[in-house]
Amino acid sequence: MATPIQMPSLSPTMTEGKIVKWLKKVGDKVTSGEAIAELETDKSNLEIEAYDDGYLLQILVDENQSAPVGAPIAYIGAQGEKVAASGAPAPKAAAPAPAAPAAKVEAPKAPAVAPAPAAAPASSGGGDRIAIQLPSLSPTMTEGKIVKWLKKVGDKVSSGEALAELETDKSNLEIEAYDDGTLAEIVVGENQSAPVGSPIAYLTPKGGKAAAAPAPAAAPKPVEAAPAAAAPKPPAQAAPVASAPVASGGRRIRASPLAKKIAKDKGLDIAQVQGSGPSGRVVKRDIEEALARGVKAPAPAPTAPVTRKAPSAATVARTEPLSSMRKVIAQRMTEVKPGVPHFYLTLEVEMDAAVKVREEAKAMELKVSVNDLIVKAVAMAVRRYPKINVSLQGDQVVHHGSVDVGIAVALEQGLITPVIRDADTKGLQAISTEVRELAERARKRALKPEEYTGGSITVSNLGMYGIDQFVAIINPPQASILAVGAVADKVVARDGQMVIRKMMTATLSCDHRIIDGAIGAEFLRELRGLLEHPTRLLF
Amino acid sequence: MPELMYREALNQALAEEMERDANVFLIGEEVGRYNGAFKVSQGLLDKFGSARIIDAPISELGFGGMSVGAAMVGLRPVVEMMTWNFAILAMDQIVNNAAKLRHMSGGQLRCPIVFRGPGGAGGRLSSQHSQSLEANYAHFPGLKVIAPATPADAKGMLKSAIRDENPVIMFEGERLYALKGEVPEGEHVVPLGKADVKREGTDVTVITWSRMYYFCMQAAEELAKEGISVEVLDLRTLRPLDEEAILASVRKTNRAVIVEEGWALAGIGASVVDIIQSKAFDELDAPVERVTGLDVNMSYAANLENATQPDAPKIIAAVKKVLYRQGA
Amino acid sequence: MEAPAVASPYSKDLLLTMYRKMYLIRRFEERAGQQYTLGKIAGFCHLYIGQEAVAVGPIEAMRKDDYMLSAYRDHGQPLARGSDAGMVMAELFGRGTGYSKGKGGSMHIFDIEHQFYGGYGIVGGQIPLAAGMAFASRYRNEDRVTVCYFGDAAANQGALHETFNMASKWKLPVIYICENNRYGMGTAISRTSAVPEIYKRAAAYDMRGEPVDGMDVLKMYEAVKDAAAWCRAGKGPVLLEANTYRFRGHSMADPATYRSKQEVEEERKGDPIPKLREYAIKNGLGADADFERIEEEVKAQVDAAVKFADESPEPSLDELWRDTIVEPGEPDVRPRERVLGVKVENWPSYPSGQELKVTWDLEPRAQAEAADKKAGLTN
Repeated sequence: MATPIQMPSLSPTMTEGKIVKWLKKVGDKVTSGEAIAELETDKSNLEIEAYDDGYLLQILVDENQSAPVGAPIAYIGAQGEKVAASGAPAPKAAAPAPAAPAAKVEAPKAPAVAPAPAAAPASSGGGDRIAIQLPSLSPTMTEGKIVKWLKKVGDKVSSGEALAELETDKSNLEIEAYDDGTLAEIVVGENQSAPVGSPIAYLTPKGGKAAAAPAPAAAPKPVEAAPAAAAPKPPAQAAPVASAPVASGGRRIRASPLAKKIAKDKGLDIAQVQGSGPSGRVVKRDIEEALARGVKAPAPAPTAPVTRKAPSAATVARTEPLSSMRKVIAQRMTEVKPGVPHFYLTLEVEMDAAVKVREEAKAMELKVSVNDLIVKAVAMAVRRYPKINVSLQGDQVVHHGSVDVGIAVALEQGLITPVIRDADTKGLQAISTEVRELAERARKRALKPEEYTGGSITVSNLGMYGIDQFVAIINPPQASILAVGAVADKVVARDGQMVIRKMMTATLSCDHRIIDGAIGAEFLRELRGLLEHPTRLLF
Repeated sequence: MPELMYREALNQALAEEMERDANVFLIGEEVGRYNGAFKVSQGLLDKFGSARIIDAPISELGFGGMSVGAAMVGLRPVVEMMTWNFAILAMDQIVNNAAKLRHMSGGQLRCPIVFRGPGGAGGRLSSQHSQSLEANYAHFPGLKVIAPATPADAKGMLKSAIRDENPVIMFEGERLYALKGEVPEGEHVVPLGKADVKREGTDVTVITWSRMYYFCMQAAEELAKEGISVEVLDLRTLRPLDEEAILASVRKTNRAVIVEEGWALAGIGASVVDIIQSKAFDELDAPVERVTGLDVNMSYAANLENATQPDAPKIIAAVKKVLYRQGA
Repeated sequence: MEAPAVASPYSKDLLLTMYRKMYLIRRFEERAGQQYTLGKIAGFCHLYIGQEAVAVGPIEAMRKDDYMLSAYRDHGQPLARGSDAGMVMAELFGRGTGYSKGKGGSMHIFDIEHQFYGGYGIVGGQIPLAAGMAFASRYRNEDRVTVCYFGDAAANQGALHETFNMASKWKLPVIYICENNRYGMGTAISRTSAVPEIYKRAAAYDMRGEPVDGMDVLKMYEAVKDAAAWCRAGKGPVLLEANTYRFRGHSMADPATYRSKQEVEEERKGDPIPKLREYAIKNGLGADADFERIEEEVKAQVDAAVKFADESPEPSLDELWRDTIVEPGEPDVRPRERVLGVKVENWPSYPSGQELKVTWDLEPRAQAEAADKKAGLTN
């Protein structure tokens, strides 16, 4: 019974081997353990041994030809025995070698059984057909999609001629023929993808026989053109940046996993909780304190205090979607500076007039501080420049209806920003009283959440520490914060003369996603005017 | 309960187990006539004779491997490595043979053997003699790794290790041997694979093992004065790690500091952090902190040596850091 | 048939048994090589072809309860000790029916029922283990001997020197057989060894050491019979250097460019299998028909082994989590019981720790004190 000798696997990495030399010829006697051929593998040159006694009946892979591991390369059997017809390679097994190496080859169950078609060696088909392989056209390309066949089966093809249009991960290109012949078979149809190196078609060479049936077993199954993998979108057609989703709108809340879990379990809006950990991280004890104070998930807008006037149409917040351009700006700014992209505007304010107001109040035995005056001036400036009175919430810009000014109050463990509601409508005296009252309760940590959330803008004043100038970090969801330093005598030029004035530096930090430099500048200029000419506050 | 030194507790465990099971023998450098480089085997040669208390040549690979062979055919060797630094020479036998015999044989063989000796810094011995190598061994499936801190655990865990059916790597400590503690007499067996809450607390869990345990207890005392309640979890066994105990304690305190004498990179603490972050993420109120030996070789000079190792002030600082306290 | 001049001291039965075992190894390895080329066996596969006498002679000279271990060229010895060829082949195939459930593969054959304590993949790593097994025999006052194989290149490992020192000092009953096939992978032993005659190393440890013709199964038989008696008499370890030759490469991927074809052809003339056949026929202890019958039987046995392996399933994925740590109360796995359902009777068993009485005085006190005194350490 004829027994096939198969291409041996001689190293863990070997997938095919080349016959360098046959040491036996057809008809020679072969004994088990005897070398019959010299083989070149990926590692080295080795000998192929016979594992059975008998006579070499047929050689299937000639010298200098390769075959995949497991493919029969010869038959041995009894002297004079004819290899059964089934032992000869079937013509349809003539797929060229490169198509087959990936194919896993099982040993034939019984020696007499014909080798599986997929295992056919490269050379055995007499060179009837030439495979056109999917070319690799970029270093990153792993597969390609046939967009269009430019030739059909039966068409004459000459070397250099375009056969098909191919879409790769980078671009669309043409596949050229490298041989003359006739297009015998198309394996990968239009809009189908195939991995690099796999046959996409077969040519019958010039003068070759008409194509036999294809060898589907040997060809990798074409991949259905899946929208994601097989048809990568060329970068040129990439959607405009504007349509990409906005990275992260609003405020990023720092909270420990435990704090988040408890807040979720208790239905507490963690955004309402002031964090006492590093970088304002909300931790368990903050949540517990908030719960003790009875904070719940609040409505988006702060509930109005009892004393507050009923909102008029003008003072109700309105919401509008971010424009496309605004979205792009928001996204770009976020890319530049993660979180809230800040920009800063600084100017000096001459405070002589403002200080005078304080002294006048003092004379009237009213306690009004320069800071109270600043709060009032900020409120009035906001009212006049409502474009500063905004918040970004997701894809929405909230235009606040009322003017609520927060004031930063330093605490032992951090800081908190109680809010003076409707500060634009309140007198200096009222503001002063409210600021002092809120600050005191803040230090006792007795503020209600609605007293320190929301707000249009915050005033942070480090003047009492002798700070000349600083920049403050915006307190989201607000979009701006004003940092004011100490009022100090300074030499300034006025009308070409050096004079001494009480000067104060004010720095406005703005959320660049929704406030631009010009708006901030106009607001700040207005604020300076109000402080330098406090009588304007009356109008 | 009698107070014993750590080494006396080990001696007691050895004597009791050798009494109990004639398959148990002790082999190592200077274990016999010299009575042990650190006096762990004091008096055992007289008691058990030269076939069971064997003075080995300075051939860690040789007698280490020989003992693995003896364990393959039913004996229960206890191999004393004068220090774990020297056992690096025997690593092939421990890792390639002892840890893999059960596996390579498809369950036909077992290797009940204990490799024991001091690990960690001895004190003014420079780099070759001052290494905490437990993480190396904890890396290998097929081994158990233990590092008891107290005399009582030393006795109870050595007894368990000798009775275990697997190779057990036991880290003792040159600076632990003379420490005293109460040790139960007679049959005192501490199971392997079980951590022990050595001090209960509510604010933070400090996880440690071996000699670092004492620094952790010292830090916990100090912190208690400031009103900080520290739970000290002594892992005792490093392979397999007692995940349940680690998670239970962290779930209680929501904060953890891991104190390890060895180096940080690929240390055991790194694995403990991984367990915590992957299985108790939602219980964490702060990132987990690690206090480890510095990423340098140990120097001889006293000040450099001290600065290299974790100590109570470093642990206190780490605890305050996870509690967001001042002075961190 | 020519009458023998001197009557052979061997029985026909012994010679035919040896022939059967050698031919079994040869045929098994040829088929293993073939199966490797077909992709059925993977990883490293070190064949024993040419070295059969080195396994079979000693195994016939040993007692069934003597221990044995080897390096990673380890298919031959277990087959000669009586392991099931199908289960060895299944191990090579990585199947659940292998001796180690497919977890060990070609380099790690273990068959404890037949006292084969494994193939080891780290060069020289098994040498200390063998001394430990021999130590256990002395410790329990048993007269078992341990036979340990290693390759010529392992002689340069520190493990060998550390172990020889202890084995000789403590008179451990262990026979080390160095299978000197002249090449450590592709490097001739003479290129890396100051003293390429491995047996001479025994002298440094006051240990018996001698060369043996490893291509002659009867010489191997005699050498080990004598060495085993020496060990059982308590005289200490023996090193035998079996000079042999592997007809095949170091592993399947070895092109064997470091040795000439002529060299291999020359060595093939010394093939131990025809040599034994000729001896037997010459001495009237076997006829061609006997050998042909044996060959046919062995061929069928090996074909069946390949078929068994090929038809066996891969190990269950549950096996991943077994056999790394022994769980409390977990028994040892007896492979033939597990795979073939046969009752395994001769599994090694030892006295419990309560029954065992250790009587060995490894280093008598007087002797230790005398040595100390000689060294000037005590007065």
